[in-house]
Amino acid sequence: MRRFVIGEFTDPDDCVRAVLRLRGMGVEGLDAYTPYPIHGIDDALGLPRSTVPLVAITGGVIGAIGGYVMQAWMNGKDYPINVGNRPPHGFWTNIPITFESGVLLAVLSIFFSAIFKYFQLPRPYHPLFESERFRSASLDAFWVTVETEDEAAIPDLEQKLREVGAHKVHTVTEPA
Amino acid sequence: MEGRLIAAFTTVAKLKETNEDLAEHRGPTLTVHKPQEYRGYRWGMTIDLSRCTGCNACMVACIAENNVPMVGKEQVIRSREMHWLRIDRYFVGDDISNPGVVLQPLMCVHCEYAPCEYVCPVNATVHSDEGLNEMVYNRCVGTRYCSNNCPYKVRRFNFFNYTGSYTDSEKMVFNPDVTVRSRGVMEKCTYCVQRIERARIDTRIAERRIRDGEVLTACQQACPTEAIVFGDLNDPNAKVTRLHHEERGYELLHELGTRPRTVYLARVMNPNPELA
Amino acid sequence: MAEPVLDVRRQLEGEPWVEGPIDDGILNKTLNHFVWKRPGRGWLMLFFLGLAGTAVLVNAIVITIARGIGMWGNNIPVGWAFGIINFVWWIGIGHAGTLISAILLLFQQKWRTSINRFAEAMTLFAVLQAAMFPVLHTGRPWFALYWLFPYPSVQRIWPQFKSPLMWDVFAVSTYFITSLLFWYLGLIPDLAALRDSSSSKRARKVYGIFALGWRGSSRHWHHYKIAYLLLAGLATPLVLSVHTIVSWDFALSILPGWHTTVFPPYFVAGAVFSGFAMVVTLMIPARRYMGLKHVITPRHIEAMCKVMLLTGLIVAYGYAMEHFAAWYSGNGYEEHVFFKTRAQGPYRFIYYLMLFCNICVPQLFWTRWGRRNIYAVWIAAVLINVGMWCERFVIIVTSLHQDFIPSNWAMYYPTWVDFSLLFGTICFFGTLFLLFLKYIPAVANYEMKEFHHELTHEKGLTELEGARP
Repeated sequence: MRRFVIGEFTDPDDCVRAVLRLRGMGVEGLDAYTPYPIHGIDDALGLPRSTVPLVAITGGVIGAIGGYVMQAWMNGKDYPINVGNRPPHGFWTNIPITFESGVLLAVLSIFFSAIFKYFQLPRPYHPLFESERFRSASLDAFWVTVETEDEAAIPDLEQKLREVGAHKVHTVTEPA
Repeated sequence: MEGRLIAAFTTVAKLKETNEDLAEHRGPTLTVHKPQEYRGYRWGMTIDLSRCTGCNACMVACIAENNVPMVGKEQVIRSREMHWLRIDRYFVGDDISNPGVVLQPLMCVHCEYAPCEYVCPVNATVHSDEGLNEMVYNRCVGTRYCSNNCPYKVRRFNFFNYTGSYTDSEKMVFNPDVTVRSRGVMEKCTYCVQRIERARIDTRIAERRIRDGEVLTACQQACPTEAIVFGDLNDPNAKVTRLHHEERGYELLHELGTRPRTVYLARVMNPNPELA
Repeated sequence: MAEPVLDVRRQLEGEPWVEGPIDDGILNKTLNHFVWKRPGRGWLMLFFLGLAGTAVLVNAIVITIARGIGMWGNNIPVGWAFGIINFVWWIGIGHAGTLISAILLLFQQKWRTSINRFAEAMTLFAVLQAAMFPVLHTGRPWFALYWLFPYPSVQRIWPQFKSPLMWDVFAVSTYFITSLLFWYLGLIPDLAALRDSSSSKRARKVYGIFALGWRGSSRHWHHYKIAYLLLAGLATPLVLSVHTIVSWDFALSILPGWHTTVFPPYFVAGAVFSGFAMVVTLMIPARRYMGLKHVITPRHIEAMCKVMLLTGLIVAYGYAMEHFAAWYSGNGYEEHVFFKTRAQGPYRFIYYLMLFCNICVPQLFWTRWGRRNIYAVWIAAVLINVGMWCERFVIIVTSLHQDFIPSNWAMYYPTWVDFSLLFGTICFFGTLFLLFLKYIPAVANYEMKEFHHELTHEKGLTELEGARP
């Protein structure tokens, strides 16, 4: 059963400093919850670079190639028709749709990979929502959380959070 | 005619000069496209403006042959008449109380580089391997882009369901060889493709080629002065081949590079100076 | 004493982008205030008027589909008229929203923050209006709906990809989907904020569903920022490409007045021009009645006027070049369309209205008074939109009604169905926009908080003193 020891900060810089200090103390399972992305938190948490751009470019390239091949095959190979004595396969006339399908597939891959893979949403329920005070995380307060399975470690973690300056420190338990 | 070469006319005295001018209005144009080879039949037409009397028999014949709907006075006022073939009448001359008249029957000229074909998003208008600009009624969704791009404006659109309320006996008037078009579909002159196909079937049974004069388009058949001549340009002995190379001949809007298959022959007048 | 030094600094730094004493809590309250309060009389009245207009639209659509395009004023030669004019007009309007949310983001123009959600919503609703017309204006829309997409059909035939209308299909679909997903992604954290600050259980449930459970985890923000930036980066070339492709509907034909290479940049500039005018038209009343004057400041309005002036000048240059090329080319057809048909023909008053609204009116924005007087700006913006509609009319109808062969020349007269469709789409757009204003925060909450934090953080001033750039 997961437990979350959480504490609130009113200033984003305090939040970032706190996370750095906690990591220095060897605390694991850290996360921060903020109403907007705060500067420096990615490094403080030691997050690796995001792979979203890779997904985007893969989607874009596949989309563009797919769009071009679709036109070349459909109009050029499968059913070539004499349309005004223009060549059935035209490189330049294929470009607009190639570009648009590249953009479309890139956009779709970014959006759906972000939602389903990176955020693992939709997930309307999360144990943290059990805490009423946690609501301010999306509004005007900055929360630091430590996730742990070990019940015995909780008092120590709460102490550490208070040390780095968190308010309203408490524990949220995942209901059975 | 706003200073444009539409219905060319000249007098006997000026004929030589006019022919030299007209020579610039026929023949190949500068193009990036590879010219198409037509090995089988190469259908073409000439219309001799000197012979046209404006009797409208060709219009009536076309309407009867191709099931062209009648739209009524209100729609004609809105410029939605459905006639595939129309006779354009131009008044010429400087004396407004005694104008000259030039007549020009105009229908789809079956351009080799048809501007209407490449703009259709659904492949509803395509080019046959014999040079016909084909209209595929059942594929047309009615975007009207082809009509916008036709410089001759010979394409017609079914704005309403013009044939929907015909009674059973009225429907007997229709030519069974020709589709009756529904609402929302473009239509235009087809060089009487149903007659071409009938001739093809007959000659295939007889195992020979279609001879000159075996396919008559409806307008050609009705014309009392034989102003309209249709035939196979690949047949060196056909009447249309000879007329295509006449000195009086010119292609309408040749400068646009459309390479129409219908060639017009300029109207030559020989007015008596005492009557002028 | 600190006072005189602070005064001089303030004069040099320019006016604030965010006015008054602000903190995150105040931002929450003021930005979402309109969402939480009960709909006022003004909103309700406008909403019901909008619904009535939408009913007019639905009626006109049903009549068109049931009886045929004959109910419109189109004829041969004028195959395209109000239907395509409205299509191009609405798509053009949509482009400003994407420019504000995507392009200004990439150029790090922070002042976009308070207006981008608003503008992006406007794009979505404008593209929705535009998307109706390519299908509706066809003679057989029940086929046009799916035959224009490449699907394996029983007839074994595919669409004709060389046609600019096919390019339109892909461009407009891509643009709509991209705008929708970009807007929605930006909305998710704000929906979470609404979920967490709402007092009604039903509101919490609905916002909770659409927020997808967003918690604000920094691990998620880490990917979110990149995804948002990438979507902006992809939406940016769409602004240029979509209206370029729409302009190719005309440029790829052979008609004089249509067949010109100047159309892509001319149309794109015109789109941004009319789009900004529409944003301003909507923004000026909205900021007043929704209490958003502290985040949508006179400085924002001034910036938008400058953009309108710039794009208006580009459009004016486009007109000048078209006319010059028509004369210089010596092509009789071109000269006729520009100097006879448009300037002296039966539709000349629309031509002159277009020139007045698009060239003369934006010159107002050279003057400080012209950019600051809210009434002048609003009237100018409305006139610019009228002028841009007239421009599409002039381009489409005049080139068609007098083309190559004089015997084809005919007049075009719109019918009541044409006017109903135009009026109806404006009302439907307004209705959708009112719904957006009521139920979704019109100003991007989390972006505003981020922006405000940056402003105060940079100068080391305390939050209560107000934010200055």
